[in-house]
Amino acid sequence: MKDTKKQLALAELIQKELDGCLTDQEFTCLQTILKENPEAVDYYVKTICVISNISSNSAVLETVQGNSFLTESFQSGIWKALADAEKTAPAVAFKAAQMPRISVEKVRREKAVRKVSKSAIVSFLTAAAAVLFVILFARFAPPKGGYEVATLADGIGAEWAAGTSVQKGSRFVTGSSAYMLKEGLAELLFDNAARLTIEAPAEFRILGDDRLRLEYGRLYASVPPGAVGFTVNTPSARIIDLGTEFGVQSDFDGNTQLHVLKGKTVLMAGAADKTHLEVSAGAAKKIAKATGEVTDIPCQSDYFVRTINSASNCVWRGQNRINLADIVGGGNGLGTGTLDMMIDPASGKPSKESWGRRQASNDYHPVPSNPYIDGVFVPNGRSRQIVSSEGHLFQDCPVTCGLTCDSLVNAQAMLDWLADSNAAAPETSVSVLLLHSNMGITFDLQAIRNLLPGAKITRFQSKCGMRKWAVRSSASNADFWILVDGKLRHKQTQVKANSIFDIDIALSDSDRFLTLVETDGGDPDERIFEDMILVPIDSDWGMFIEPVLILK
Amino acid sequence: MDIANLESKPTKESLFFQLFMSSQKNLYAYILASVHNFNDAEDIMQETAAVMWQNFDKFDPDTNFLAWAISIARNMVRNYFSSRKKSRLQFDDSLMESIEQSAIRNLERNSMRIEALKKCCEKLSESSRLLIQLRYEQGMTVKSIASRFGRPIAAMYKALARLQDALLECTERIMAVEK
Repeated sequence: MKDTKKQLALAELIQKELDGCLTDQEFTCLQTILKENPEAVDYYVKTICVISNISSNSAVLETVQGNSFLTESFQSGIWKALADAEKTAPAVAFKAAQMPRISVEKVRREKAVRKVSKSAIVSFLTAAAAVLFVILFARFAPPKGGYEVATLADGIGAEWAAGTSVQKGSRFVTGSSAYMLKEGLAELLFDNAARLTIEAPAEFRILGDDRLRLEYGRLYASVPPGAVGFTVNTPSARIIDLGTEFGVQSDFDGNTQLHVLKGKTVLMAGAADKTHLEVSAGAAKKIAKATGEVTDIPCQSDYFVRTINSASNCVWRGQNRINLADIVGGGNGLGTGTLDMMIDPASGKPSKESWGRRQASNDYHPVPSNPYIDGVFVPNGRSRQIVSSEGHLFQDCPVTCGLTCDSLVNAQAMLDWLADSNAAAPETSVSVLLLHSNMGITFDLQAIRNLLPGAKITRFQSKCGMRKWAVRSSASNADFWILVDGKLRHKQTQVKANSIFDIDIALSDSDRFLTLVETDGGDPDERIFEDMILVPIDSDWGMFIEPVLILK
Repeated sequence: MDIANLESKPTKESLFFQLFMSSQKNLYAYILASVHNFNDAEDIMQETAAVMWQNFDKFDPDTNFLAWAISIARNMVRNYFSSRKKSRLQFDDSLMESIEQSAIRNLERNSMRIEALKKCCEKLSESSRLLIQLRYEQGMTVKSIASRFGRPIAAMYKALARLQDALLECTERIMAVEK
């Protein structure tokens, strides 16, 4: 079929028919052309192949998108150029008898809203792999342009490319515009509840309500069951979610890393998506842009930022431990606290200064400066001891001297300072929560849960004990108490200097308050000089070593 | 896709998924060529996939998956037209047969066509890229595109026809060289 005019006329008829806009005469004309010319049939089929390959193949569409930023004004300019070209283009038509006048108003079929037929739905509902079809058909859904599909849920230090106005709550639109995150972190919540955390520098486009292309950068996707089929495209791969959490990194050369942390994904890579692989939890793959080669790499659970919370400045990379000493230091348990930061148990106020030895009441003091600490206190056992803002009581609180010394401190210590441990690396620096005897602190577990939505606190673990060196070893004697919602879960009494023991307490979702207490052990006063009396708290250098909440 | 190349012992679902994904573009092209309408093609694609899944146990792994898929799609196309009494819009049987034979013949090289198409798209002018984006990425009808930019609909169809013809010629040229 070498007649260019006829080819173009046929191409035009094909376009109209695909839209359902052919008149009856035009349809007859189309059929006649095809029946009378076998080459026209080939041309027709090849044209349909080209069109279907463009419309059903996001890789081709992305080639079309290139790196252009198609703003409205830019589009208008381009369109004007196109229109000018049309004015000078030669008319293309068959002779009048074969090509009736086109009446575009006479549309026989309106473009229908895409739907799944009832019979198909019934079939799917009875099929074990119904979800599979949801995924498959999502690939075919014709992308609709320029509509909102996601919201900027949060950001930490996020700076977007000039000209891009994105703020918390801003809506993200499908289409050709690229979003460039120059600095910081951004969390996108798609309307289908898929959540993406993106690390700068990154550039991405939103292709649809369940599709995104990452040109470069790093993202972590948490996809709930209702959003199964969420797809991330990169220059070298396509990752389709099958109900999971996964991280994707695309470097500036277009190479991709996929790390699957939960569930399962399908990875497609190479020319025309030649390689299909299921990648399940705990597995990671690297895809080379140049060759499409897929290789195994170690799955790194903390490689991607999974959740951010700008209110608490929390950046969670999947760490499974919340450090309570860090929280005492004003942090969020993930290492953002200040070393040597103190909290006065007799007032609840933070400070970087020590208060020394003093007598205090056993009032329960909230710590308003720290959302994760419910309160602190100096137990004396002489009246009921409140240990939470909800009035939980420490029923077994022993009678103490009512004195305390220094403060609760977020500190670092060398292992061999703490005890004559058999640690393999005694010089190792460890995080410790120092609390001298007759102090108590209560952590608000619910506030910590709120810090990391979806995280489950399963245990409290710590080493605990008394420092190695004591001014008066015989008087270094204290009791340790661990309470959950006022109920005693662990106690260790008559703990001496240079003594370390392990604590491991299971926690449930309903547990709200975790209380750590050290009391003086009831040592008698001792007069060592005429005018000097050593009291029961003397040398009670208690500490919790690496006190952590274990997350699942 | 050769089943032997799949990962070891895939589940029925994953095997179907992989086979379907490897054939979907060709199957869609076949259906689109048969019904020559985007909306109808999508409906039939969905129903065909459902029937394929229901009958996947009957598929012989030693045979060609696409051929099996097309045999199902062929019946779906016929049922679709007859049940909806769209005979006026349906090509007659002899032409349908010619189209089907041509489709099967051309789809054998569709992977190569996709790669060629990518290269051709890279060479497009900005205005052509825009037209393709609006039409195929954003799913706009030609009428909508014309309306949006205040251009005659007939001119838009001509522009799209020229672009489509140029892309076809380009892909054929590349495929001929790389044959």
